[in-house]
Order: sequence, then structure tokens, then C-alpha cells
Amino acid sequence: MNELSLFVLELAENSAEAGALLVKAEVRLTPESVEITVTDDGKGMTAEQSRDAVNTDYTTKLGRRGRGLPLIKAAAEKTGGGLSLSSRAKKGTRVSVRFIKNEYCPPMGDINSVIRILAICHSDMDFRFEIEQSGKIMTFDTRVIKERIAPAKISCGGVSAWIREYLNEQTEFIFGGAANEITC
Amino acid sequence: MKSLAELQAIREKTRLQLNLRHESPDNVSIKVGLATCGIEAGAREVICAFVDELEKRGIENVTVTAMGCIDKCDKEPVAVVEVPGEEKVTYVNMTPEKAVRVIEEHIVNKKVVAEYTDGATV
Repeated sequence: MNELSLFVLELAENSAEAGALLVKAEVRLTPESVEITVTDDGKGMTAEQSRDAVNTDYTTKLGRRGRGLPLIKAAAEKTGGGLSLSSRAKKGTRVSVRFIKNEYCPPMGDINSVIRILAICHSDMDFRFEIEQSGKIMTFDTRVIKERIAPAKISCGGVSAWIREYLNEQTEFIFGGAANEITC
Repeated sequence: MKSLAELQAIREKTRLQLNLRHESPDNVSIKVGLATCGIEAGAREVICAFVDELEKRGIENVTVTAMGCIDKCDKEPVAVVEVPGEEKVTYVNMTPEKAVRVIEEHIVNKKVVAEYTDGATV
């Protein structure tokens, strides 16, 4: 897993597993760094659980649950950045990861596919994405879409095609190229 | 530019079919493992292939959802296909190409792709 977009997917899936109904993800790119923040309203964690979630040695848990966060933390620290997590039981969790742009920083990868499959595969949840690059911002909010298509589902063919095209246009606008070409 | 108004048009277009589909008993479910193990193995691309192929063929009675780890980490990406009234089928070591074939054969032609299933000796 060495793409920033897959880290976003991993964090959002953690939120889904925590029973979140709304997940907000922000990706901010500057010439120096990439910051990813994912906030959810899931079941949250106690202080002890939070420590364990971040600090478990992922190399000893290969193929097991709970190694996602340590893996992302290690990738961020390798660039000189880091990961911070704040969580409150029954309230939700917020994870912020900062990558410094250098040779160790993973590429963004296909963020549009990540956004699209989250929206479609968790149609009972809502997602708000905000990606900012040099002052240009793209947003994607499943609540806005659902409001307009109800009672149709977000997973129906016409809507999933619209989402793909919308995201491609937005990415073109903020990056001037396809999302999977974005590198640090 | 894609506009939100287009979404309303899509709604109007699909409104009639929807009432039938919602409670339709023949809803097929495809679940793809999207825990850490699945993501690392390429689940994103597999899900995209499922979603794109369903969209391309205009198939509307199939829902693609994410599932957690089912302890087949070394066989990810894993996809579980459930057709009502039939035993569920677990496909392992999935790829986008295999996903397209599962739609073609299992979903459209109602024939399990045995060689991709867990335990197949291929």
C-alpha cells in the first residue's frame, strides 16, 4: 500500500468499521507537504485503544486487523511527517497525517476511484471530500447528490457514471491532469 | 462541466424502474474485502471493475459493497457473490479482468466461474 489515496481509503474504511455515518476527508497539498485529515462520527476509542491503534507493531500483525494506522504512520514518518489521532468514545475519531514532499513521499494515486467506490460501496453512509491544491478546491459530498437523486440510489448506473465524470473534471481543474498521475 | 441538474435528469429517467427494483427479490450482492489486506492486494481496482462493468451493461439489480477481513488475507482481493436462492460463492485472488468475467458469466449467464473460487485447483 504505497499511495496516498489508498491511505485515504484505509482511513475511511476504519471509519466505516467504527460505525460512522458521516466521514469527512480533507487532502491539502502545498509545495512542501500533503496533509490528510479524516474525521468521523463513529464509535470512537478510549485513550488506551487510541494508543494501541497507532502504536501496534504492524510487522508482527501481517494479514491481521489493526495494522493500517501503524502502516500509514510509518510511511508518514519516513518522509519526516507524522500521524496524530484524537478520539473520544461514542463521539468519533479524527486522524491527521502529514507527509513532507520528498523522495520518500508516496504518489497520490487514483484518488477519484477511492472517492467513487466509497460513495457506492457504503451507500448507507455519507462522505464529504475536500481536496485543495494551491488555492484550488474541489469538493464532493454524497449528501448533496443523494438529495437530488432520491429515491434513486447512489449506486445506480447513471449516477455512478456521473460521479466518475464529475470527479475527473474536478481533478483536471485542480491538478491540470488525471488524478492517477499526481505525484509528490 | 457536470452539473447537479444532470443528476435530477438521471433521477427522472430511472424513476420508473426504481420502484420495481427496490424490493425486487432478485437483488444480487457482491461484497469485496476492503480491510487493509484487501486494499493492499488491489481491492480498489477490483471494485472499480465490478462497478464499471455493471454500469456498462446497464445491470441495476446488483449491489457492490465493502466487507471487512474474512481471514483469507493471503487470497485477497476476495469477492463474495450472493444470488438469492443460491449458495454464496467466494472468489479469491481477484483482478479487474476476473471481475469482468464474473459479471459476464456468474451474473449475466448464471454460471459460477469455478476456477476463480476458493479451493479451486488452478
